Amino acid sequence: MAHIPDGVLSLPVLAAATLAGAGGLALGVRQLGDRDIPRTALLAAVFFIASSLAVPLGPTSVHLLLGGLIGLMLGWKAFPAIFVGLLLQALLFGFGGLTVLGVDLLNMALPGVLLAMAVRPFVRAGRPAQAAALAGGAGALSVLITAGLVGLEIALSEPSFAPAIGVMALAYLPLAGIEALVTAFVTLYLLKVKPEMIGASAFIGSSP
Amino acid sequence: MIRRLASILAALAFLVLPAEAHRLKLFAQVTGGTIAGYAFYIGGGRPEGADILVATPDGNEIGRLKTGTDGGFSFTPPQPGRYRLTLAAGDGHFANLDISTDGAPAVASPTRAAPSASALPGDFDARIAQAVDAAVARQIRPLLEAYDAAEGRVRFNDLVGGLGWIAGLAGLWAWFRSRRSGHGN
Repeated sequence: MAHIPDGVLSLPVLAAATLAGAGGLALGVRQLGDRDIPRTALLAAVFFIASSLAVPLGPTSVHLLLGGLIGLMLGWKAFPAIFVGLLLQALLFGFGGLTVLGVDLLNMALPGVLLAMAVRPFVRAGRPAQAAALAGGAGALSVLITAGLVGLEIALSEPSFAPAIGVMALAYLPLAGIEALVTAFVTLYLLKVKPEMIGASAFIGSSP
Repeated sequence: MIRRLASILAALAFLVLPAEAHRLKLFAQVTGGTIAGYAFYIGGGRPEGADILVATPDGNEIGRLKTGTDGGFSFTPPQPGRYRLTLAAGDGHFANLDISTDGAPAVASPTRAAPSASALPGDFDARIAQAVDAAVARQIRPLLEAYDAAEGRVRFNDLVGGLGWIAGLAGLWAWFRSRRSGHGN
């Protein structure tokens, strides 16, 4: 859904978005400490599986993106995780082009990372309902922002191919709802079982 | 432990579901100089009212059309040759297809098909060739359709292979880190 193929974007759009994606990737890799490797790899696997499998829904079919959840669990390290998932999807399945990898990375990682950054201070183990609602909202909103970014990039490159707003909304609203539910439930579960996974109690964990 | 086992089983059950790729594709066939076909999502659904751009391989635009109900379209290019169809489904999905209408000898041009009612011997041959072309196209159509649908399917093997790659990359990264910082000795 959000995988743009080769040859659609114009050079300025491609260059700008690729640079931004590479910047995020560099930031994420710099933050990647020894102890973060297993968690990052786990979420790369989750992203790879979840966004490879599409379920038929009405006239089209949708797949999860999980940008909000990954952003919440990894912060900027979501960039390397999603990059690996996207690279494998492009090589194994031909989802999205190799030349637009940086653009796809930006579209799928950035909304989740920024939204998670905004809600993380309010995600606390003591208030699970509030935490789940906020996480779910971030998940849904990140899907819509990803869709908006894809639409904007295509519109800037090739105005005649600009996606129709109505069709976009119809295609992405159900996905946003599903994504909100999945993110909320995973957040609830993690708050009970392992709250430090979503940064809810970093002050209780290993760091001071 | 039991909970962990249950979650692994649930994950496996999810994997066993029919795994469909989410990809837009174009299916088209040439009969008598006319390109006809339809657009479809692997995994279900056909885009209606999507734009199709017909161009020559070097990028000159020949025409534009819209898919009808069930994603179908048909187009007769002004002369036989190679064409590139680009489909934009309106929700950010694209598909490309290269097709050649000059593969069929002698009869490809639709302008020649019209006066062929006269019973000249040469025309008779052309009519037979045209009829055979149409019959072959009709016969192999289901085969081509099945192949197109199968080509984009996500296979379980590929998914598991991808997971293996991720595990390997994580191991590689951890190994590099351990060499650099020297701990682990």
